Amino acid sequence: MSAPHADTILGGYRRRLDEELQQLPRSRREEIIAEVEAHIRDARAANPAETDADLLNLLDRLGDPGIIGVEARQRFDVAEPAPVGLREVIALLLLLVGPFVIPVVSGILGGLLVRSSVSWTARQKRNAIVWSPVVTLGLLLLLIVLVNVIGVGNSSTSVVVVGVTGLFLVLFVVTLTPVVAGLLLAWALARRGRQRRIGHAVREQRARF
Amino acid sequence: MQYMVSGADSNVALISQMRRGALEFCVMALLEHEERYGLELVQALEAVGGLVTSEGTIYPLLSRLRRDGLVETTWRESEAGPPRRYYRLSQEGSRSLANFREEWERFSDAVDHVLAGGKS
Repeated sequence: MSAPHADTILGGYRRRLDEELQQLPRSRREEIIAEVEAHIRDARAANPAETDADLLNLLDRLGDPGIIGVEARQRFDVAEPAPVGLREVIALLLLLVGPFVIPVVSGILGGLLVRSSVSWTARQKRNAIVWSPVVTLGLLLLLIVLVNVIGVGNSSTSVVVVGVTGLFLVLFVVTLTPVVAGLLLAWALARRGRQRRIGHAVREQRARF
Repeated sequence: MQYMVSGADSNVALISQMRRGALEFCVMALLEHEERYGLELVQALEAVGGLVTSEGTIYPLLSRLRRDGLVETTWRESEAGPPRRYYRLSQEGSRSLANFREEWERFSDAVDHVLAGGKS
């Protein structure tokens, strides 16, 4: 019998490990994850009466994904994530707040700053570019459905209304896309902040020996 | 633990670097005469004690040794579950380990001698 909440516990560990190894070359990341998973599988197989506590102890012995991440970055000479500076703060302000003040221009400037920053990985930047329009269009669709359900657009025959609605839709997308991108990038930095704290904790822990 | 002088910090960092460096060769030594898979290797290291605090950190190390051609790997069927990756020391790894053994003996003898107060 495996631990009652094995899937949740292992899923969370696996996700965090994947996140921590983001900066490694893909083949190395996959190899390390596969070996850690094999370790877990082999260790679990030896314990037929496994409880949640057993599984948590097993993961404790393996070590926090953050510790494995720091070790992996050191072994493969990958730099620790760059600190967040003024450039990143301004970039996020331009993306999150700017579009409500100066649409379009603000988003483009913010985008350029993000592009030149080393605090985000290429993958995180790509994610923001791909997902921000998808999420925005999803929100737009939701809004359209809601409006139709409530039955606002009764006078839809009017050309003026169609024109106004069209303008609103364009504004909606243009304003919200950079905001969503900003949120995704801010989230990436927040997670990275935790990574840096763990890196620091590991160095302190090592220093105690 | 608190340190009064900044020199103590670099001292401690040096020791942790030594441990990391030595661990690499301990892993290689454990793969010298016997091929082992991940968990087996971790258990062999644990049996000695004091070398590894977080077992998972062995896997980045193994990956690095493999990339540098110091260990070789083979997949083998296991009695239960999917195939396992077995690690074994390569020829280049053997040379590197022999080199380390020699250096380590000379180094540890010298350090032991000085730490014991220079009396022979």
